[in-house]
Amino acid sequence: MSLAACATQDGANLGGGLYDPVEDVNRATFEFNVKVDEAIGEPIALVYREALPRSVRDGIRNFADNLNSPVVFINDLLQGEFGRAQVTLARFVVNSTAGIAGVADVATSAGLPGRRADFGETLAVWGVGPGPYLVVPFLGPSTTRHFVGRVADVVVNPIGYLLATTDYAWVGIAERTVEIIDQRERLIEAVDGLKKTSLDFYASARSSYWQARLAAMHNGRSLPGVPGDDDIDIDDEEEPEPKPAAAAPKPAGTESRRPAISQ
Amino acid sequence: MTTVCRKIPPLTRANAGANASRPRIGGVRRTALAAVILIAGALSPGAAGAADAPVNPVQKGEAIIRSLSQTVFTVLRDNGDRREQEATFRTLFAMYFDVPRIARFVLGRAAWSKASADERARFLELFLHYVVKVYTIKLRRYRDGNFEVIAAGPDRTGVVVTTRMVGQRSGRPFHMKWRMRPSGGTLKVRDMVFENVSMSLNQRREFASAYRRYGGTMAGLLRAMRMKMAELDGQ
Repeated sequence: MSLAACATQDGANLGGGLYDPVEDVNRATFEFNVKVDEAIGEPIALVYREALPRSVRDGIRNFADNLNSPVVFINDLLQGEFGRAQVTLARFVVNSTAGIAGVADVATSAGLPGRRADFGETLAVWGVGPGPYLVVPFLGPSTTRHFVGRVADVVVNPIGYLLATTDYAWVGIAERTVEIIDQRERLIEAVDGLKKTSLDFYASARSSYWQARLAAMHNGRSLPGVPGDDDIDIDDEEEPEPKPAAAAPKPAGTESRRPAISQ
Repeated sequence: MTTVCRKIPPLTRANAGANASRPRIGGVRRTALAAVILIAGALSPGAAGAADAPVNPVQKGEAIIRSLSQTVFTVLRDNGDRREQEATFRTLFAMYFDVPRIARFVLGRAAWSKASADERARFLELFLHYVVKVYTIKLRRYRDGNFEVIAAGPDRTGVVVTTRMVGQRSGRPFHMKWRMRPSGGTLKVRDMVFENVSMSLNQRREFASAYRRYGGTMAGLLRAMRMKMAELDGQ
């Protein structure tokens, strides 16, 4: 095999079972998304940051997170995380009442820290592989599994149904819009830095997405066989990628009883 | 020397302001150089024998990262010139990061094996300048920020130190893990993990893609790096 061929395979293999077999299409979509972001996304995020103090932005974020709690609860249950499901439910009750419709995250202050869970993560826990890497128009980097999960999460959210049957359907749309703006605001420096300094912005964004996504799927748990930042084999540069099957053993006592996330 | 270094006050917004208003007699280069000398003296292997020196690798790693971070923020605040900062960071990077190992990891096995000794040497040299240029630009966004060490512990054959940093513009904290390994009688940084994203792994994948897209040769990759550096210099 020629070196060029090796390099192609290495470049497309993102580790953790993820490949980028439709890179040309993804690159074109990525360039489109970058243009949309430069024209709309980043300017709105900057205005959002300047116009609203951090406390207000945090309140908006808390409100959106609270509306998403039922989805987290459902996914906690589907993953067999019953302890987390209890916490998610308790947080929803406390924040919806004492937290004034979720604007204040009083549950965290009361010792009930929130954790996210989504259906893409649930699929992974069930053994579904990530599928090909995918850049979705307007939404950005994803995997097939992650994208299916995002759609499913929107569909199953009971609050979305409740709002749709009332005169408050706009609340759901507004919440989702503001959540996207809020997420973009948090990434202003990181995205700008990556875009300006990368030899290949597409490859850097792809790698950043996948590493962050793997960490999100760990979700505070130790999941054997899933490469996390601790498994990056910086000790042996002869090893091209962290391989799930050959992942370094965790230190004694840290083995998880949780189901492994499929690669 | 150790005592002198430990007199560096914690960096707060208050004393950052004091630094900003201080007359810059003798130019900024002296400030940056003094910072490097301070940290170098305090953290050199020979200083480990001092009475108040760190007693185990975790403490030593924590001390290195604490001092390194303080120095970086001091340079960012005291010295507004990007090229001056870049020169200082180049010295710090060469001293406190295991640059040859990082460079080889980032390049990847296939390209490293294919490269001649001369190409490897040229890559190592250029990599040092390239990374420092990139990180100087990134770090300058956080010049009004602050940091604190929140955890330190063993990490396989080395040490991992976690810092919590706050960028003043976003106002939100982010976490950076510094993964360190023994090297040359001390500990050197091998990877920085920014909010769960390994910078070494990111660069490895970025360089693999650039290598392929610039003809699958070391010459192509070096050309791409030089072009990017020229572009960054022009900004």
